Amino acid sequence: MNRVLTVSMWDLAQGLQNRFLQIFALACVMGGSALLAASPEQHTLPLVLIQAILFFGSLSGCLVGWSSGQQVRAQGAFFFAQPLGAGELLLGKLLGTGGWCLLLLLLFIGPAMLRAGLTQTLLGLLGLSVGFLLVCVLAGLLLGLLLPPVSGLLAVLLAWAVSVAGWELGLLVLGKTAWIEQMPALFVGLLLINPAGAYRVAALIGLDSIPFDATELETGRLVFQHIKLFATAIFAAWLAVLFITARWRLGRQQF
Amino acid sequence: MIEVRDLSKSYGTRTILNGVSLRISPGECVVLTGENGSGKTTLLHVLVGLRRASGGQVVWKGRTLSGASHRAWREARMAWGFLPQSVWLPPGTQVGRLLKYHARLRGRKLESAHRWLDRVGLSGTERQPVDALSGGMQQRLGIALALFFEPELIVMDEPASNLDPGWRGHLTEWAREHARRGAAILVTSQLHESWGSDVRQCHCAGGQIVENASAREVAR
Repeated sequence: MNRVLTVSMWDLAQGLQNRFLQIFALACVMGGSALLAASPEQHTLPLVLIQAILFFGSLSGCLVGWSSGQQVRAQGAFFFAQPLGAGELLLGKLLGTGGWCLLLLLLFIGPAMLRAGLTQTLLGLLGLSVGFLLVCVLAGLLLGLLLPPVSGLLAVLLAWAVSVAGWELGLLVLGKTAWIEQMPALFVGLLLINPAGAYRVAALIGLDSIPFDATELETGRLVFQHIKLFATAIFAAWLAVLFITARWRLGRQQF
Repeated sequence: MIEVRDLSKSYGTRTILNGVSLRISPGECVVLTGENGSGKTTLLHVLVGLRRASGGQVVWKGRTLSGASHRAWREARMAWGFLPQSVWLPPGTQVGRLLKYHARLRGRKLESAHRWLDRVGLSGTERQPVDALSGGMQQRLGIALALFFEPELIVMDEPASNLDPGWRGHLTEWAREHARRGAAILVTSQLHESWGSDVRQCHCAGGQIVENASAREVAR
């Protein structure tokens, strides 16, 4: 556990020199100031947060994670000969880099949230946002650790674009086909298996702004009734899968 | 202390190591020499678990590490100081912070790291970013990070690169000093007289160890 803390503290400190974090921190300060000046009300603030996390937060998380993974990869043989388990390294990195993303999130939304007042909806949304951001950070970290810089960055951008837009565009096309109408459970499953989709749906339902009439989807009713729990389980599953994959791949890495 | 048995390593059809066996006893200092591409670095990397062998075994203190768990490797690495051919240190990081980080990773006191920083002639650089150091100074910092925790086994790949003759002499001294307490294995293209007669030289060629003699014998 000491080594996990050492890695996470190191990552927190190194974050000050991370160009991505510096740029995102600046963007968060500017965005947060604009948001504070606009004085959003309690019911509009969550919508701003959802859009910001879905598009800006997810990209920031992926890129910061990738950058953190790249830094370890660049140290190569010297670092990997240290008595540090792959699990300890990943957990420490996730805590350190994830900690930075959480700070950025608070930098953006914190002042406006304090002015508008904390609500249960907003707190629930923040919890969902943290889960989603951690998935993004770990996905970026995995690609940063395992792929060379350029292909890693391209893979991160591709994964982000597919997750926030491509997947649902594909589902829209799929939704036009006749056979998917006979299998609504499959459609719901495909929609929610994507972490960005799970975040979007859970967050909007949490605000009572359901994007489609869920009552027509008998099979999905149970899922939508407990959507926050379901989204949390999706994030936990993604974190577990990414963590196990990264740990396994790191064990087989050759330098 | 550490032994490799019938080690082989191939990339596709290209064989890098072909049945290498080497036993390093306690108190022994072994220098691996050989031409570029002879498999020296690959052998070191397989030895410290950075590459998987295609066949054969690595045995550390009677325990077979090949195919062993992450924990077994981590425990072994606690006792090993490894210096790769090129040391990449995170740019912008202060020397002092890097020392602290490595001391914590190894669960050692910072004093020993500072003592080694002094031994490699870098005391007073704690607040300097590592990229402000010259190539030779970065190499010496890498050596300090590999040795400060008094490892039982030191494994160094071209440790003398970027070092001027004075520091090369010190390096020899440190390697011998560590070998007396445990063992040392170094890859070098230059086997100079200062290594002395008690250093065993192994020559790599064609993925095999073809010579096994003391430095004095080689000099003769």
